[in-house]
Amino acid sequence: MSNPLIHVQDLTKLYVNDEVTTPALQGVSFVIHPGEFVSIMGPSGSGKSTLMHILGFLDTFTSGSYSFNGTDVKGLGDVALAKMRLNEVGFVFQAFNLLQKSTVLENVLLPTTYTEHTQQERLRLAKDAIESVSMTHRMNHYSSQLSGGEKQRVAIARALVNNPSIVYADEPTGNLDSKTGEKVLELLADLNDAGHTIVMVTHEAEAAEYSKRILRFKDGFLQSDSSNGHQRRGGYSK
Amino acid sequence: MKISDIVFTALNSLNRTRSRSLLTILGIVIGIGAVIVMLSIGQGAQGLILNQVADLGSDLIFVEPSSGESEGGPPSPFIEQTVNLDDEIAMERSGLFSSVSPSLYTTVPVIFQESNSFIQVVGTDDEQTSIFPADVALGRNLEKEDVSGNARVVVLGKEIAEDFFGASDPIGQRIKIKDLSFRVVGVFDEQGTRFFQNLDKQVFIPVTTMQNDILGVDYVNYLSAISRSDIETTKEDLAILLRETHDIENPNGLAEKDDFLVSSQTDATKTVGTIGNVLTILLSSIAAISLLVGGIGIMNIMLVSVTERTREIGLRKAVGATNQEVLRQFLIEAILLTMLGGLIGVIGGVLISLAMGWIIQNFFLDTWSVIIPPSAIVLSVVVATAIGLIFGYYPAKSAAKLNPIEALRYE
Ligand SMILES: Nc1ncnc2c1ncn2[C@@H]1O[C@H](COP(=O)(O)OP(=O)(O)OP(=O)(O)O)[C@@H](O)[C@H]1O
Ligand SMILES: [Mg+2]
Repeated sequence: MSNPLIHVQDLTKLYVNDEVTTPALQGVSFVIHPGEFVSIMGPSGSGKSTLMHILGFLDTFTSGSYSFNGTDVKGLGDVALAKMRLNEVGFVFQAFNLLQKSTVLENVLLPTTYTEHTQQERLRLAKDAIESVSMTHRMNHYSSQLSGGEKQRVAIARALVNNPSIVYADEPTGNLDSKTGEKVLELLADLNDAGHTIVMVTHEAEAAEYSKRILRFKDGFLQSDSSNGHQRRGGYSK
Repeated sequence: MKISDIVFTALNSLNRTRSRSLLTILGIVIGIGAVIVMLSIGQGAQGLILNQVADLGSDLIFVEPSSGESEGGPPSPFIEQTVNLDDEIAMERSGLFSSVSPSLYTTVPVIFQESNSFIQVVGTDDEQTSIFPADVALGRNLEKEDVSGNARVVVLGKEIAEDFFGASDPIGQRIKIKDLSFRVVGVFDEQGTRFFQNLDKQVFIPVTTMQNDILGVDYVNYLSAISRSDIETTKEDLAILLRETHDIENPNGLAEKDDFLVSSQTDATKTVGTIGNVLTILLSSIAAISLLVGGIGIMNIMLVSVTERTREIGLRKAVGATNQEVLRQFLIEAILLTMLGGLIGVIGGVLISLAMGWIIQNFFLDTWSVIIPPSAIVLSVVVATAIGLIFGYYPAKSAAKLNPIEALRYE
């Protein structure tokens, strides 16, 4: 088997606020390989988002180890973490987080402005990403004019634009109705088929059906790690 | 991130809040514009005064009445009455001067046939024109005999002659000055302005006639004289002479003080220089205050902008922007704002200076020259940029410090 992309060992995260200490993750260990499509499930407050933030280099952890593509993340400084976010990961949020007053193209271009690419290369990357989520026809529309499903597709394009090693999606269908949600999940499954590694947080069992593997969390502990033999693909009704 | 990308991004976000951005920089625009206008006018006025003073020559000495407190300068408010024609006689006898001439002013109605206007009348003598050279266009100048004889004769300034007589010959005509009839004996050629007075709009009569018939006084406003030798020595000798004639034994005592003031062109130049410096300091502080206020406005709006764009900042950081890059983006936004303000201010200031210069030249003083110091423009832009840097730093820093997760959660 290939080298692991993500390797976490005894990962702990304590939130310390004044006198209150909240253990969000309590000794979590797992490995994710390139090409996987993993769902993270669990009740509210079980530490799913916390884990995603740590895996996505947006937050630090209290103890344990996390290595990404062989790099020990613990030792990385602010700038190195920013570079990891820029080059290695793409984030898809429940709330889309698009710039309302910018066009689809501008939104997707945003992460490329922090790279060393030329303007031409950036445009090409952005257009390719938009193409891969089938939004080319809306490229110059303002994101405020899009439907929820379209917004999430644009957000996925933005997550893909710098060709990341992994895409993290924290409840990507949480703000969408089930039919629109299905299309987004379908898109994620297609991207996974095309070789992208995807980790997705979801509450819904039907959503998790689209992934190949499910990690279940409770109270900051990893409860189960199961593969999904009957991965659901295609065939959603219009 | 390349600097061009940062500038582009900054321009983009400024463009989205265009009207607010423009309102925000108004403080800077006004501050910088005011600096340019004030510097330009200050320099123009200073240049004008220094030119006039320089035209007068360096051997010129003034004696004016004084309470002993004043520090010198060009002939100033005519409150004291302690200088008179006896002083002139004493000065002439001393041999220190090649010419001495009195000046005594009043403004009274002057009437010729239907024309009637308030005009500045100068009581003086024949030697005035040896001190302040002036050509006689028609007729003659005042003469010694006019002064000794209390003669009711008048020499007109050029514009007055034109106003009253048009193309016809004024010589020999009679005009009324404060109800007394005067015979016009001469008209001066164009003289222009001196100490902000338009000499072409004055009329000149014998000082004695002025004292006895018009005002009923025995003093003069000031005496002008041309020194024969070194001006500083002459000033000292003159002071001793005047103390003798005025019976002042100890000018440094408590009871007695000099009741006159001797000053020269050099003093005047110094005074103008001092006035210029005071003016510059004053204007600089006004400018500093308005720029400070403008800067605080910029800081305020940048803080508002950081708060409004918390989610955008969180997003930028989540997709890979470093703290440095976020800091730079907001700093450059602030600098672009203030630079734009500075630029508009400079353009506005230059336009207003030119317009005001044009108005002054055409309606008030044709000797006025519009000076817009290039250093002021460079300084303005530099200052505007510095203000952006200083007042933009704190908001930019607070943007850079934002935690991306919390920022993204911000409502
Ligand atoms: N910034 C924070 N400060 C203190 N406690 C926090 C913070 N963020 C999360 N927590 C706590 O950590 C625990 C895990 O939170 P987390 O957001 O990871 O849960 P979650 O599984 O994503 O829940 P949900 O499904 O509702 O999104 C919760 O008890 C939460 O209250
Ligand atoms: Mg969550």
